Amino acid sequence: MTTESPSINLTSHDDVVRVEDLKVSFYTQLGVVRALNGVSFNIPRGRVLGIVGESGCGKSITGLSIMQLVVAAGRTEGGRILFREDAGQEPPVNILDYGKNSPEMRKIRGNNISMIFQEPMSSLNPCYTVGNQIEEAILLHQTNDKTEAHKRAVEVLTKVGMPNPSRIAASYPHELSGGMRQRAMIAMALSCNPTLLIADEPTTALDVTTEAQILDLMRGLQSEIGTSIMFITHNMGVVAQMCDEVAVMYMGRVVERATVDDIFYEPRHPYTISLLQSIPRLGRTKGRLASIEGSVPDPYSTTPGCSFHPRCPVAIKGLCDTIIPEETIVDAAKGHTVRCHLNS
Amino acid sequence: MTTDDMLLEVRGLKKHFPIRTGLMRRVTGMVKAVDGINFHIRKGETLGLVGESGCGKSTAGRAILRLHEPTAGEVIFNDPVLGKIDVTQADRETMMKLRPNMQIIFQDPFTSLNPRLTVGQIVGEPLEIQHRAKGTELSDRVAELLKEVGIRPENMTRYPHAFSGGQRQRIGIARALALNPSLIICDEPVSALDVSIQAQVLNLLDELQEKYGMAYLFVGHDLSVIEHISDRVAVMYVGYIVEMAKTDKLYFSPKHPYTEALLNAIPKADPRLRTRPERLQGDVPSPANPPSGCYFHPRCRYAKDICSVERPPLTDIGDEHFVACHFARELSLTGVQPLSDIKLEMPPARTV
Amino acid sequence: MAVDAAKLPATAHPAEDVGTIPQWKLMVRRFRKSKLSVAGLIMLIILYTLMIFSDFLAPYDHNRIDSNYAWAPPSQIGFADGKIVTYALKQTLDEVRFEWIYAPDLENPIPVEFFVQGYEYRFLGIIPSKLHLFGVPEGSQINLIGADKDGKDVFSRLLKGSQISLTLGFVGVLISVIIGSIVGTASGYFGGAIDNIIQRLIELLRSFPDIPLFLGLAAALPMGVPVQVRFFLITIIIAMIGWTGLAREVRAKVMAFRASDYTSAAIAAGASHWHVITRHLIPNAMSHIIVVGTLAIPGAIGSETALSFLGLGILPPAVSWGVMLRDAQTIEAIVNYPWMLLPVGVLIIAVLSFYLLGDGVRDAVDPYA
Ligand SMILES: Nc1ncnc2c1ncn2[C@@H]1O[C@H](COP(=O)(O)OP(=O)(O)OP(=O)(O)O)[C@@H](O)[C@H]1O
Ligand SMILES: Nc1ncnc2c1ncn2[C@@H]1O[C@H](COP(=O)(O)OP(=O)(O)OP(=O)(O)O)[C@@H](O)[C@H]1O
Ligand code: SF4
Ligand SMILES: [Mg+2]
Ligand SMILES: [Mg+2]
Repeated sequence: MTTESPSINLTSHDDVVRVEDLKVSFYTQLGVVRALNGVSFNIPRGRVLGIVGESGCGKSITGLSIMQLVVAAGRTEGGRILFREDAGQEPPVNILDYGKNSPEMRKIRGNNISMIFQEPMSSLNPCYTVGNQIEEAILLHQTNDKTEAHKRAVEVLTKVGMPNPSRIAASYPHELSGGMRQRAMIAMALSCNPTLLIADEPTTALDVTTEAQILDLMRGLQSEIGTSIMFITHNMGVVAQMCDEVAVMYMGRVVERATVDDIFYEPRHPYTISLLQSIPRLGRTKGRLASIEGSVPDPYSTTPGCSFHPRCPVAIKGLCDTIIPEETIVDAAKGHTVRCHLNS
Repeated sequence: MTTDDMLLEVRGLKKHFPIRTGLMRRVTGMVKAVDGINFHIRKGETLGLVGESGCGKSTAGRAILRLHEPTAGEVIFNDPVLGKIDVTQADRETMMKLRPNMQIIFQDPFTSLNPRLTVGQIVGEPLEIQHRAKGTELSDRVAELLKEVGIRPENMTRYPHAFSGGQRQRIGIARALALNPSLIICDEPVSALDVSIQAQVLNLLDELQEKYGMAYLFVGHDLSVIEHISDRVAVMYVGYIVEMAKTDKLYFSPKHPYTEALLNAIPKADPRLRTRPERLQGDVPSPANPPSGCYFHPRCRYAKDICSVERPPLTDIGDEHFVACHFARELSLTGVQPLSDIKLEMPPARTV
Repeated sequence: MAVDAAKLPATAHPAEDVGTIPQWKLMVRRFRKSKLSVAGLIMLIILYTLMIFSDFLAPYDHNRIDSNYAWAPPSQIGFADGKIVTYALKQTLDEVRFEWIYAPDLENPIPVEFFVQGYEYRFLGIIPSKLHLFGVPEGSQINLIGADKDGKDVFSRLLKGSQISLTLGFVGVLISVIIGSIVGTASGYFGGAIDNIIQRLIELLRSFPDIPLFLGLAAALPMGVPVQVRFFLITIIIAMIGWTGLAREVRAKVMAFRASDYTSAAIAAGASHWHVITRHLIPNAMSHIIVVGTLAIPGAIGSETALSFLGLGILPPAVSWGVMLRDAQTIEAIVNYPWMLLPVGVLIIAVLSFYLLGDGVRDAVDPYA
């Protein structure tokens, strides 16, 4: 298994977060789930990094690890998560050095990194108004003045495009539609001006038209505020529209990492290529779709060698099924790396 | 247009669910889940039915099969033996004879198979119900069906929990296939699947259609998938079909403002195609309390006075292009641009 | 074909094909993982075994009176000449309180004999027998856990009482499970007017407070009837009150299963009501019915005890734990003759075991609930 990460300065950007060889396992009654098997990637400051991959490949666990919010059954078994609040901060903090509930970690969660989830209802408290909850977050970390907090809450609700912010502030979560709730969640996440926003499939539960509204909103806010975003999704269309950089994950590893343009136009990993070939393209594909054979791997099993080799159409017998491919640099200037024997 | 190749004609189909409140469970309102839809499906073709969550797609599919008893309307099915029959009026015996010809595939691979039955029992159940086969004949037929959908027949004795989502979906397809139907209602069969598995199932449906010539009513909300699989597409909004046309026409020259908005909202899988068109604002109205006139008028950019008063009927504006908009012939709307055709090649295979 | 069947991955766990294990077996496995529930099950097996053999284990008939032994304390057990012995009691009369004061007469060991002939009973209600596990010769008495005010052997009564206490609740719940399942299934499956009527009826029944309803019904029972009839009537009362809750739970489950896609698929293939109910609804609802039933038994056992305690349930000369507790209701009894409270201990063990079992079964049936 590789422990080395590619040379630190692949890109000219300063990274907000650099995850190095992160390993997380779940010990369950049915066996061990190696959720993350050495995940490495970086999130350049002020950019949107997309994390894509099939269900169960470890996208959410990666996000939760950065927040140190993985449930107790999940054990971090190695790696580092380096966080730089300000550009050029030296040395960076290793988030994993802090205890899950330490004051430092709580400060990071409140001030520096926010997270939004697929199902907004799960993170909004049904007993308080939306306004109350945003004020709460602001009072906890920014100001002690209640009227000031309220003013800011309404401000941030306006910012996320709520049609009638003061009325929304006074409503309870269940009184809002799915899209409105997601906006409220975004407002809450942005209320403390985070350095990094982790968005875990924020639009998956929404309809296309609402999804488009939310994506527009996030893009707009991102270019306005300059927050770095880690955007988790499994929809390639959303990746294309939303992200600057992309990390493709498969079975707990990042198998390819590139700019969004390279991912779509110059993909190198057989998995990325198959994934792109298997989605219907508007106005293009009639007839057969190229599909990836086999099924999504069972979380309890471990695959020797490259974890994609059982489904890979071009796997090299005797190599891919025994040796885990190293992360290789395809294009250092653009930060394009791939983990595949065909590229090394 | 001959009518002989017509398989299904749906006319004015309505399904209203009563809203009951209070101790006496009095009906205090109606959820107009499907509110007077018209469409037809020809033999062997695929009609895509697309729309946002809650617009009544599933209800429409179920009402056709009388899994929900329709509130009003006609469903004329062209049975290979019995000829054209209004399904909504059929008695028990006729229904029993009609049923094998109309089957259904469901969205959720985890709840659509009875966890207590083996895969063999699940796929064989329709044959048993219709007394088509027994004993070894039954298991032979089941094995054949499983092979047809890419499941190894040895798996017959296993239970659904041992299969992945995609495999379960195949088992559901085998069950629908068992009685050789001429129409299969596919209620979002790939929505719950991973992208890589989605393509397998779409291909399978394609191949089965080529082989057996059944028609599909393909319900979905992913516009790219619908475009890929459908010959014609119908767009639904709050229980009403607002536009129906051949797939290319609907996608490249839509005539209904809602279709336009829907198409514009598709996240295009091409980073070089980042447009920010005018977005549809607001939310989908509740089918329990829809707006007056054209249900779309509160969100429509092109709405005029008449729109809030009169509901436009679904009319043919030529060449099987049906639109329910007062200004269908006047508006010039933008459809999707085809995505650039990126040629992706697998790296050549090598040996060590 | 999209995927060559041969290429599909075989099974996830090559060592064992979990896929061919039916769901109920998986449930048994999950159940076995819960230690406490298994302990509850074992405890219940022991209790019910004791109940079945109660006449054999009891040295005396539960109504055998011997005023010489009124309030006799537990017999002391010892060894003499390599034999298990007990001791005769020396009685002295407390002149002030006019009570016997007992002390074991250690000079006078009485051998305990095994497999002796004693009072006649019918094993399992059929086979006549006089065999008892142990006993002492005529003329003396062994009271393992003391005697009551008439000198009746509490140990024998406790065993005999279990026959009613452990079966009445069980049978009552069984009947309510049957009624509840049928009514609940009908209500959930057919819906509409049937459902409406049944639900209103259930609401009506449930709107009566339980305890007065119990008491009212029990008080209305005829007094001078044989034990069996009374047992039967009380069982019916318990069932009448218990079935409503069960019917509601079954109804909710049946409604969910009825709305499920696999039921729709069967209907779309032309399945009859009978087919849907027997193939899809009952098998799926069964595990939930078992859970609810198991968790209802302790309540029913408690109800019997309570009624008997109040003198409205089982009446002497028959004996149940509730009847025994009725004898222990004076402060005097509790302070001076604490063994009279033993039925409470056994009752708590039985009730707790049922709860532990029910919890385990529920977790096994529905691990995510
Ligand atoms: N609490 C848990 N206990 C056991 N295993 C878990 C737990 N949480 C996650 N896992 C496992 O960790 C792996 C990664 O999970 P994760 O939630 O990160 O997937 P994901 O990529 O976010 O998938 P999805 O697209 O479905 O959200 C999965 O195989 C999952 O089974
Ligand atoms: N059994 C029912 N009783 C009452 N209302 C119902 C019932 N089934 C559906 N509805 C309502 O009817 C409307 C249409 O539902 P339907 O399931 O047909 O939508 P859909 O288009 O299939 O949505 P989705 O994309 O979420 O599957 C919804 O508002 C729903 O709440
Ligand atoms: S390393 Fe081999 S198996 Fe892995 S992706 Fe590349 S080619 Fe396929
Ligand atoms: Mg996730
Ligand atoms: Mg639906």
